[in-house]
Amino acid sequence: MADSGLEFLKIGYTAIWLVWFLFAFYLLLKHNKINKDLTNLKSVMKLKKTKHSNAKSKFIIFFVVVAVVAFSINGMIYRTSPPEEPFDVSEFLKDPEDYDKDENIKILGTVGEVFPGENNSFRFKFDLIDLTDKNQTVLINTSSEPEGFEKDKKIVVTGTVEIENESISIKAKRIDVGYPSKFQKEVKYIYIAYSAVWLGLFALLITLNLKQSELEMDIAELEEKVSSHGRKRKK
Amino acid sequence: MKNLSKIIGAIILGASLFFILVTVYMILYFAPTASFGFFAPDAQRVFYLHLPSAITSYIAFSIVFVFSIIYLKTSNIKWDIVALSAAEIGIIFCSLALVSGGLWGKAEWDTYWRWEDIRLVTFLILWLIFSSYLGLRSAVEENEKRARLAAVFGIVGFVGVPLSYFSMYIWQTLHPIVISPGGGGLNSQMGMTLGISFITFILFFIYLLLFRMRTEHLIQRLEDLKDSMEDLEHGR
Repeated sequence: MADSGLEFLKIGYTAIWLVWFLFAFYLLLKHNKINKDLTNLKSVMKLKKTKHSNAKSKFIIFFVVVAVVAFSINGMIYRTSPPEEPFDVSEFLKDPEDYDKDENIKILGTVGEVFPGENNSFRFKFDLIDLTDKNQTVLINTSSEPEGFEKDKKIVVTGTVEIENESISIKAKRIDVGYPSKFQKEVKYIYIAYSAVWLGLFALLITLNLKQSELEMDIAELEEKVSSHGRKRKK
Repeated sequence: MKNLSKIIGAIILGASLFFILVTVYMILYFAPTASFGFFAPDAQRVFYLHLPSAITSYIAFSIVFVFSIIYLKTSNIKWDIVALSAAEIGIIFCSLALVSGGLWGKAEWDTYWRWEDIRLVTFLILWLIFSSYLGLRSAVEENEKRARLAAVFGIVGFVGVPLSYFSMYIWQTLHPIVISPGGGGLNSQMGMTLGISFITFILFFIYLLLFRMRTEHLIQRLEDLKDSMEDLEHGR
């Protein structure tokens, strides 16, 4: 567990929005080409540049409302279902009998002694780690020692409760060394940056939408002009 | 009618923006860190964008298939526009799945690509097929001929979709199976995040498809206008 892959998560997110921005840029070029062709045709028909009614303010209001609603609902989700936080090992030690066998658990503690345990049928080495708190002990069973793992380090253990002959220990499915983790420290910045990038992309798409509507109106006007010319010619 | 389509477009756009922000939030905060079976648990969060991208590209290429058949039956250019728009957006989603998968693979397996993984190879073939579809379209000048050739290519190329989707069920592959009758090892929070991400990607795809089709219609109308003006000029 040396590298949790956080850097790759960030690179992945960056690559994804970069692809979208390239696509938005491609759409922008398409619209510019239409605009250019339309201007040429208009100049042939001696049509003046049309002034369109300003729908921009409506779109800006729409954009802001959606963004605000989305962030508010995010806040609500956060309040009703906050991210799962580990509880301190001392809480566990107050009443370990409250826990059932195989119950999922996530606890935070400081590494005490590390000593070898029994081999299991899969021939992995099992270590028994002692999470010490106020002279009390919780034993952790783990199949491998995580990177950076040493005495007095803060760790978060995710696993299940094991009860055998009245002794309670925790079988670790995962051990994270260091708390809060790098991800927990950086997540809010990633969230803000990524949301901002998406808002930027949507602002660009909305601008393109506006442009498209204007072009539609211009083309309709030109079609009308050309067909009226055609009718006059026939008469 | 035009106003209705604009209102629907605006609703889908708003819903896409809303769901994208919710999805980003859920991926980063709501979904728990994959606690078991991953070497790079933080990079695993790329998965919520990787899988929906791949599935959306399948949907896009299926649309190409359906509308190519309809075009060959009716010879109506509007169906060709739907197929073209779906293919372009499908390629974007397909590229996103390849890029995000490669990065996740690097974090998890320490390599961007594994040729022995049949799912990866068949997905790359799918990307190549539909890139060639777009290449073919830009190589042919005449509208009708281009549409007909592209329709035939789109129908034949669709074979890549089931080939890629079922590859991991047919051949033994290293690619993880996430969606299966047993749940594929996702807990409820992970499943919910993936579900919301799917909705987001589908909405965003619909919005982009409508937008791209409108753009292509504008190009078509401009072409028609050019022809009409030429006719007027030559007194026809």
